[in-house]
Amino acid sequence: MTDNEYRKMYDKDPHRAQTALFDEYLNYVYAIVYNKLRSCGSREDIEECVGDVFSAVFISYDRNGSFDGDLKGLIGTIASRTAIQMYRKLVRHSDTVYIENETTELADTENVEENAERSVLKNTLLRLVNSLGQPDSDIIIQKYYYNMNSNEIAEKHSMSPTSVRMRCSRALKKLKELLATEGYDMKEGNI
Amino acid sequence: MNNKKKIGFDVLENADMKTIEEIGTGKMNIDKNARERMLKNTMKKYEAEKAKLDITQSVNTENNETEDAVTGVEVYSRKKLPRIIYMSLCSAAAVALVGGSIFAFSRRNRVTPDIKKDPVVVATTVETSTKPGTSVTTDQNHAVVTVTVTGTETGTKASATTADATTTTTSATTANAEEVTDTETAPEDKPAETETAGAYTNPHTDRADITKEELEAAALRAVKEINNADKAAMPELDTGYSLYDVNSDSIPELFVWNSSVLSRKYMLVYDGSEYVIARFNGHDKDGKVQVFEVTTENVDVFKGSNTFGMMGHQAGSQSFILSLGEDNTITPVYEYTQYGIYKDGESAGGRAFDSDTSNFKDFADKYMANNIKELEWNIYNGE
Repeated sequence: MTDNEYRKMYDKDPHRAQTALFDEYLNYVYAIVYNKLRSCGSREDIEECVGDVFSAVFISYDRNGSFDGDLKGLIGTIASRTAIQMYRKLVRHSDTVYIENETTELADTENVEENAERSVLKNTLLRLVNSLGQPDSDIIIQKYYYNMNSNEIAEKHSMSPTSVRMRCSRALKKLKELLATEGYDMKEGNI
Repeated sequence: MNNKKKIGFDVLENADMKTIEEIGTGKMNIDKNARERMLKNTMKKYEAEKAKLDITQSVNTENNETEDAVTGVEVYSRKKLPRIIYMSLCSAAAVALVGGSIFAFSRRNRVTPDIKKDPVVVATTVETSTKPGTSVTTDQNHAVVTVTVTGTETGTKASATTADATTTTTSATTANAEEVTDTETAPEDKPAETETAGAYTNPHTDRADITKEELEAAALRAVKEINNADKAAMPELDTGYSLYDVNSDSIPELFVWNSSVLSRKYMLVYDGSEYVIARFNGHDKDGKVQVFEVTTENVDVFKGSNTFGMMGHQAGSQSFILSLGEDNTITPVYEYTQYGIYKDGESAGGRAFDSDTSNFKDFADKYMANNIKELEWNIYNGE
């Protein structure tokens, strides 16, 4: 959906336009929010944040009368920013001491070496997961990154849950071997 | 021994947009119920936010209707003064600085917390000197002006006695003194049951020799830091800044603005060497005191007073009317958040739900009743 298409649809029926935009970008927004809140937020927190994102997107259009070109980019930016705000809110409400947390965050941005290492790890993991080929790479991501259960994955791939479990087990074993050849060990309890 | 590096899927968290796309944005399973739930929640938030905006706009319109028309803009221009007037002003400024320091010091002693029995009195000396050169202060309209002091060095000493004093940034020798050197930890000193949000003491400085150049350099450092952090998420945004003295302490506060979709403003206070984001005590969802930063979609300065406001766009976000003391303490005057409504730190009703627009109107009326000052923004060019 482009800015222009949304405007035309909105002029005829605002609610329909908003629902269409919501449906088109729900997965995209959810993925961005999930990426930021995966470790600190519950499913309810993520859904709440998704609601905040779309609400802000609709308000942004109401205020400006357009999305100013790159609709996907704008939605991604709002999603990213809103998720970061939610992350801060969740972390502040947890038992973690607020000041320490902030110090960690600040230190993080300055630790170039650590960031670079993290980037290498990220790229390595994604490269090796992708090298597993389809549908194994998707199954691994769905199982261990998105924490979906075998039934949900099976539904997505039109397979039986048993097949998913089997493929997943083999793919994980292969991934561990690939990681080992590159000098890495899979973290226990974090896969 | 296994020396291999450990790797897990948590390494993919908090990734940039490119990595998120690589992971795959269509791989998760959002079932029909979850979709319905999120859509309903979205529309609820949207309607509440829209109602808030409508109220704010109508209050704005009402205020504009009753306002007198004002034309033209305030333009700051450095005027050349006759030498004799110039010298007189400089002398007056020097006297005012010295007198102000003495007054501030004596006033600080007056508000010293209760003195315990058998106080040990120790003499404390504060030395204030005015050297030739340029210093910065602010005028009665809170705008930044430069004061140049000429002539030979003059010195003034003020003596005072204190006991059981609470010191902040000034160096003082006291008996049984409680030194609060790290103000960020102050809220943790409060008992957990505290429900009344008092003032939060931000760092401040009593230095009288602060130059305009020093402040501008510190401001640029702070702006750069905020700009870089915000640009990490949004590379295209613009950042602007403005110096304005809210609390008439002669040291301007720094306001930073960026052009993100929701826009964002910050207020920072000067601690003697750097500008730091101002903080204050508000309330959390349990009614307990929680520290907030002065940053949200809108931070407005109110003309002719030491109050300022924060107005959030997001449904249920934090909105406040706040008062800034001369020592950078921030006291909430009116608090309207998704967690509740507080006036002068005291609870004034139940939790403010998203659709609770009648309460928001009361807040918006109070907010808009203030004369909002349009700040003059300098665009940060990254240098």
